Amino acid sequence: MANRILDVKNLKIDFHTYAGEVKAIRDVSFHLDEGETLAIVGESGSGKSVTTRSIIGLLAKNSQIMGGQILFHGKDLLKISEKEWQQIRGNQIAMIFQDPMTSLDPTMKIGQQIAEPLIKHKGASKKEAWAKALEMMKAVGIPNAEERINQYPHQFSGGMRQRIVIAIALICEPEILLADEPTTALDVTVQAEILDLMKDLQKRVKTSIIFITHDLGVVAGMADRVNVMYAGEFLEKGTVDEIFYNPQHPYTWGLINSMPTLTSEKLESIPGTPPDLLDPPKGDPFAPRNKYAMKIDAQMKPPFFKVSETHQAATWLLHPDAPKVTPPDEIVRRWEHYKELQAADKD
Amino acid sequence: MDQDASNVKITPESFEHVEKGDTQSAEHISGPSLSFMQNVWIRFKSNKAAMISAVIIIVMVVIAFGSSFWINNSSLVKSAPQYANLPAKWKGFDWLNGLNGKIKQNGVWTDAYASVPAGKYFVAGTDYLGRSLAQRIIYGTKISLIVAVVAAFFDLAIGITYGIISGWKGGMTDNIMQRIIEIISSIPTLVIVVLMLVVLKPGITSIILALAISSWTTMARQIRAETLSLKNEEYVLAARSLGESTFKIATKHLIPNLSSIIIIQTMYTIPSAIFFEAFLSFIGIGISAPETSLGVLLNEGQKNFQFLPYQMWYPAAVLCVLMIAFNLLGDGLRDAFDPKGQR
Amino acid sequence: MPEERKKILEVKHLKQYFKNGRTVTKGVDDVSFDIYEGEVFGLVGESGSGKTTTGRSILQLYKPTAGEVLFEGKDVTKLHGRDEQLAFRRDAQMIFQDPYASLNPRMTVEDIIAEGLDIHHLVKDKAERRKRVEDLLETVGLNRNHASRFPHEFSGGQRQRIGIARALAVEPKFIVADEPISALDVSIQAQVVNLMIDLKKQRDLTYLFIAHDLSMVKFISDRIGVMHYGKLLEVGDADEVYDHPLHDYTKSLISAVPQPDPEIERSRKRIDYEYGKFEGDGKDDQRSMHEIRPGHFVKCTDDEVAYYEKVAQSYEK
Repeated sequence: MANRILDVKNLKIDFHTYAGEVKAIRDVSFHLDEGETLAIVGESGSGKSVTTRSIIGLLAKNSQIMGGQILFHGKDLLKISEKEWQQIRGNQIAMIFQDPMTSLDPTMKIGQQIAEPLIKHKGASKKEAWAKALEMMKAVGIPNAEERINQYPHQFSGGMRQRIVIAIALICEPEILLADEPTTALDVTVQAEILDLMKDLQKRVKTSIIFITHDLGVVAGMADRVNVMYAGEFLEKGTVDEIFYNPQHPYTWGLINSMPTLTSEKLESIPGTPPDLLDPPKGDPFAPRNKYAMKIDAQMKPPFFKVSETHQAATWLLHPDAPKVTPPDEIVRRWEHYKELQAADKD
Repeated sequence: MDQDASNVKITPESFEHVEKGDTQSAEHISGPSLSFMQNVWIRFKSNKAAMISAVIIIVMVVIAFGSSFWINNSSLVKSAPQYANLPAKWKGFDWLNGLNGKIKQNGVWTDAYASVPAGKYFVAGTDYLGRSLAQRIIYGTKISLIVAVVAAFFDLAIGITYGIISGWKGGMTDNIMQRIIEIISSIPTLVIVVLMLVVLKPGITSIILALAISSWTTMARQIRAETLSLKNEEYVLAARSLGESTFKIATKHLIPNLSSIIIIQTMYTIPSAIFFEAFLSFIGIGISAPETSLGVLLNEGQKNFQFLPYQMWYPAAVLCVLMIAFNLLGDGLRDAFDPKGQR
Repeated sequence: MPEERKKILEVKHLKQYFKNGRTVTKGVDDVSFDIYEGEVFGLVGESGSGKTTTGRSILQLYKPTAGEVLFEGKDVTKLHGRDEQLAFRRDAQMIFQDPYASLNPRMTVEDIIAEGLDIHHLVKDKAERRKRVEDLLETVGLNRNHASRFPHEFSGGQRQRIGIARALAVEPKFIVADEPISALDVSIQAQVVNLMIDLKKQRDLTYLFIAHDLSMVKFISDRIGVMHYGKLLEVGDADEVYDHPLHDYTKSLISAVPQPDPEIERSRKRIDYEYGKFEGDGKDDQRSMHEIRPGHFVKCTDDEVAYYEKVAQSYEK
C-alpha cells in the first residue's frame, strides 16, 4: 500500500485581471504517492502551471484561492504563513522551471547556489554544504566538477544549467519535486539525457515527481500516472498504460492523434482553441471542439466515470445510456493493444 | 461545480449527437478589439497622479496661451510705481493673512494697501515697478512652455532620425554617430550658451540654439538602443522578406513601436528644458528685461527676498508645479505603455 | 526517384560566417543540397546546427559569405536592381518560428497580411485589398472579421496562421518554414501542419521545412537533411533516413526522440554521439557528400565510404 504524501482536494483558483475574473483552476483533485511520478499533461492555458505553483506557494499576487485544500502531511498548505512556506520550499518541496537561462543567479557561483539550500534548511556548515554540492554536481553528470564548482552560470550550456537546477532542487532530498516543463527548451538529445538523469536520481533520493509537460512522448517515458488537464480541470486520470492504450476522453484521443507516430498517415487535429476562462463554458469544457459531443455535454459537466480502480474519465460517453462511438483509427489500434496486454496479464 | 447541475435532467435525448458546426464559431473572439493605444489609455486613466498632472498642464497651457490676447509686451512694460511691491490681495479674503493685502513687517502684519484706492486687487501682488505679478507670471509661463515646445520639436526632428539611422545602420556609421553624441553631451550646455554669447545677445535665440545642439542627445540614444533591438525582431525580418524598403520599414514598423519611448522621453525632456531656460534667465544670460520668463521673475524676486518673499515664492511655485506635473505625467505614461500588458 | 523532376532550388557550397570582433562563427559551413519542385524538404538539427541560418541565407535575408543559391536556375545571391529582388521576394517567402514576435503588435491583421500586396502592387484599391485579406483569412481557417483585430488578441496557433496568410498573399512558389510549429501546443501543431499540407496541394507549393522535432519532420517531409554544427551530414528520403540512418549523429538523434507509447519508451535505448570520430577531427574539409544508396547521401571522406556501405548493408539483412 503506497504512502500518500500529497492530497489536493477540490482546488479552485481565480485570477483578478482588469478584464474580469479568470477562473484558472475550476475544481481540481488529485493525489501523489511516495516515490511515484505523476504527469500533468495539458496545453497552454490549461492551468497545469498554476496548479503546481499553488503546491509550492508561488502564485501571482492577483490570484485568489476560491476553495479547496492541499494536504501535505496533514497540513493544509493553502493556510500556512509565508514563514512556514520558507521552511518547506527547497527543503521538502522543490521546483524546477522551464528556462534554464533565467533560473540561476548570474552573479553567484554555482557552488554557492547549490550549497545554499543545505545551509539554510539543514543548518550545514559552509564546508559541509560545498562538499555535498560537489557530490551533487557529480551525481548530475557535470564533468570537471572540482573546477567548475567555482564557475558562474554563463559559463555553462543550457543542458548543463538545467542539471545545476536539478542539483539545487534535489540537494535537500525533497519529498516532492515539481518539474514545470523542465526539458521543453532543450535540444532533443540533451532532453533525453536530462530525463534519464531525473529517473536515475528519483530512485536514489526517493522523491516523488509531479511532471508538467505538453509532450506526450516525454510523458510516456517518465510517468507512472497521468492526469490530463483542460480549461482548468482534469478530464481523465489513469496509469500511463491506461491513458496511452485505453484512453476514454475525446480530448485525450485528440491529443494522442495529434502526434505523428512512426506509422501515421494523417494527423487528426483538434479544431478551434481552448475556451476563454473569463467566462468558462457550462458543461464539458471540451464540448465545443468535440466531434463526439452530445446534447448533454453542453448542459451539464460530466462527473468522473470509473474505468478501473486507477482510471477515471469525465466524459458522458461513459454513461451507461450513452451510445457507443468509434474513436479514431489510431485509438482503436491502441485499444486492441490494450486488450492484448490485459489478456497477457491474466496469464 | 455547476450552478445548474440539479436542474438538468438526464433523458435519452441528452445523448443525442450534436453536429459540430462550422469551425468559424470555434475561432470566434469575443470582446471588443482594443488597439494598443486604447489599452494604454485604460491603464493611464487608472493612475490618478498622472491624470491630475495632465489636467494641470492642460489648464496651464490654456491660461498661458489664452491670455495672449490681453497680456502682451506693452501691458507688461507699463509700470505703475504707485502700486510697487504690494502683496497679494483677493476679494473677500480679509481674514486670511497673506491674501488680504497685509504683509509682515518687523513681525507685525501691516496693511500695504493703505495708500491704494479701494477696489484694487492684485491676485499675486506686484513687483518693484508696480506691475501685476500674476500677469507677469502667466506671461512667463507662456515663455517657458514655448521653450518646452521647441525642445520637444528638436527631440522629435533630430533625436528620432539620428537615433533610427544610427541604430539601423549599425557598424561604423553607428560608431561615428555615437561618438559625436558623446562629444556633444560631454560639453555642459551652460558652456555652449556662454560660447554663443560671444556672437549673440542673450535672449530666446541663444536658448533655442543651445537646445537645438544638445537637448536631443538623450532621445537619440534611447531611440538607437531600442532600434538596435527592434531591427532583429521577427516582424521586421518578415517585412524584409516581403521586400519592404528600408524607409517603409522605419515608418511602418519601427516608429509605431518606438512611439512609447518617444512620448515618454519627450515628457522628460520638457521639464529639463524649462528648467534650463529658467536657470539661464536667473543667472542673467537668458531672457532679460523687459521680456520676462519664470527665470527672470525668480531673479527679480530674489533681490527682495528678505522683505517681500512672495515675489519669489509665487513664480517658484509655478515653476515647481509645472516641472513636477511633467515628470509625473512622464512616469504615468511610462507605466501605461508597459509592454508586458500586451502579450 | 525520377530524375526528370525539376529542381526549384539548388544550394551550392553555401557558407555563412559571422564575424564578431576577432572571432568568426561558422554558422553555415559549406552546405550543398537541392530541392525539387513540389516536394517538402525537411532540414533537421539541434540548436547551433545552422538550419535557421541556412534558411535565411537562402532567402537572402543574410548575405551569404560564399556559395551560390540557384532559384529556378538563377543565382539569387547576385541579383541586380530592385525589380529582380522584388520578383524573387514574391516567389520565395518565409514563415517564422515565434508567433508572438513575427507579427507587428501595432498593426491590424489586415495591414499585416496586406503588406506584401502593397509592396508588390497586387491590388487596385482598398476594397480589393480587403477582399483579398478576408479570402486569405478564410483559407487559413480564421474568421473574415478577424481582419480588423490586433495580434495580441489571438492565440499562438492563430497567430501562426496569420503569418502563413501573410506569406501566401504574394502567391509564392517556394516557402521556407523556419520552425513554424515549435512554439505551439501539440494539438495546434497538428492544425498548422495539416493546413500547410493542404495549401501545398492546392497551390503547388514547395517547402523547406526547418525543425528540430524529428517525428513531425518525418511526417511532413519527402526528403530530409540532417545538420550539425553548420554542416549537412546526411540527406535522403524521409523514411530512408529515419529507418536506416547512416551517420552516427543521425542515429543518435533518432534514438533520443521520445515516442507517445509507454512500451516503446521502456525499451528505448539512447545512443550517444561521439563527436570527433566522423566530425571535428580535422578531416572535415576532406569530406563531401557521397551517395551510399540511391538518393541517400552521407558526408564523409572517400575512405569512410566503405564503413557506411557496411552500415547500409546491416539494414538489409
